[in-house]
Amino acid sequence: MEPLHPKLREALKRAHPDLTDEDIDRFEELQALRFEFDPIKDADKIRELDLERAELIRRTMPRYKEVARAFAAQVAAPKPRRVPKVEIKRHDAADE
Amino acid sequence: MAATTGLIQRLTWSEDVSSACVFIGPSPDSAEIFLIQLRSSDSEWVRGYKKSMIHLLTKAQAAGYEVSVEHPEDNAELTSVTFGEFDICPIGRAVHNDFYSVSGAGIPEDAELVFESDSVMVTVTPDLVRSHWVFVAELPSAIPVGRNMVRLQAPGWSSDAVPVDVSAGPPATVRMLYSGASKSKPYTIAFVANPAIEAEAGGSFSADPVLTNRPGFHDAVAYCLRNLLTVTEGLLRQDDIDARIRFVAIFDSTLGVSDANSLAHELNPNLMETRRDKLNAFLARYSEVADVVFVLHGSTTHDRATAWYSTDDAAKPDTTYTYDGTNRVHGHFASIPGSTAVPISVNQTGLTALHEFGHAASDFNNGKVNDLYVDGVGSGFVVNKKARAKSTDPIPNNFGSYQGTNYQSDQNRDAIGYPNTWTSYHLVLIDPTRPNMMDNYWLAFDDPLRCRLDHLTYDWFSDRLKAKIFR
Repeated sequence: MEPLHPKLREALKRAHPDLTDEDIDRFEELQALRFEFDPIKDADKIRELDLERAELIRRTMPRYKEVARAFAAQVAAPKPRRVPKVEIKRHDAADE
Repeated sequence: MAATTGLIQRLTWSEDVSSACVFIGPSPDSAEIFLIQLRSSDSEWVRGYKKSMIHLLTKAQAAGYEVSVEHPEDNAELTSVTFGEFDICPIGRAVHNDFYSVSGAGIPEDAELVFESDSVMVTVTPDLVRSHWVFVAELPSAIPVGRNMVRLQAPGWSSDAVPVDVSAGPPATVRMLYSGASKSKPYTIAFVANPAIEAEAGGSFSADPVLTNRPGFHDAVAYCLRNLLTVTEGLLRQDDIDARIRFVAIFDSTLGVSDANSLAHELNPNLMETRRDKLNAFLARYSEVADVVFVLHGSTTHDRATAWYSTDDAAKPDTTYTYDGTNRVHGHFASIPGSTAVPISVNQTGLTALHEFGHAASDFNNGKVNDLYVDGVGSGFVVNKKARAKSTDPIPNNFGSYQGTNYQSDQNRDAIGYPNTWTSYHLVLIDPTRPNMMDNYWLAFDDPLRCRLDHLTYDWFSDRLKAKIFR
């Protein structure tokens, strides 16, 4: 799982003044743990972890989605699309 | 025996005399005429040989390749036909705004692609250059449609020029970006434009916006390839092993919204996971089999990348190794490919593609490579993390052994440091000044793209990848 960007962590704490780093770390740990179980063989365990994650969000970070979307928009906004450098020379121009 | 070399200006078949007539020379007005005649007195072998020569001439004419022909001094009947060999090979059709690749050997890292037609010369700076491969994410539409000669050039170096026919479209649905090892099942990494997304609650599906954003898909594939093959961590390019890896991209804009077409699932609050049980069947529709699949999606609400490990096929051959004295295996083939869901809006300043590949290319049963930015070690066999009984216990100097070699622990976790509540600890880093690429690379003091692995995971992963790549 992509690690939590430190700026998103700060934004989450700003949006939830009672939120602690320990809460976020616990949430991150549950998310990472979820992906260690095989979704084909261990679906029940994954469901259990998802319920625990959902409860933790509801209790400590109810504005998570809103904050994450604002952060994503901020990160995505300045990204220039990479276009290959192209140089064109006309043969008739080169001959002149 | 006389020899003539040149372009085929004209090739005709005369039924009356059972002969192919070929005009070879620099232009239609200054071409020599040669014959290949099928005689009733020819043996079956000779007849077959002559037909092969005609077939070769037909191919060479269509491709615009120069040919060399041999014939007796005193007559024009051909005895042999050969193509000149090129030192580069364009991969697939040249189509505006589609991917374009050229393979070769010893290609300088500052090589550019040059397309030359009757009217213009267009020089294109590639998105990726490896010594064996030049890759462009979108072939510029400034290249004239029709016959062009393409070559690679760098200061003081140039490849052969190869004729290619450039078209305005349509772009391919399945595009081989690089062929990899010439074998029936080369190690394959697939990039798939996800057709549909399963909603958080499950059971309902919607169209993935990536299918209406082909340029975004191409841009994300280019980012993933640069991340895998050109950042400081050279796991995938050591000893040029990437020359044996096949890369393929699938973008099928005709697909509708359905369970079978949904390769991604939204997860609360902003994660996207692959639906790994759908991948093999989806790829099989395009006659593809992959070891790792990048599911590239267009969601802007669930844009945090995740990955599922591979499941090696236990019924197929493997390579044994020892870890902490226990015998284990690197499976040569996957029964379910490793997979990762990555948004096309991915922050390209990060190491997300390589980090997720690190999870996806490891295995549920034969060794998991886990996130190092959280404390838990989880269950099963984890390669890159261990835990103490208590957080106050000292971190052991010796982390463990792989193939009989001991590896040290990372006492400091580079500059990040272990929180004092953590029981887990990591391996000594290749670059002790920056986070492990499986840790929080966003915390690198300078550039996340410079983060590397630890020594043991690098060695373990090298062996695992080589076991698969050389299978």
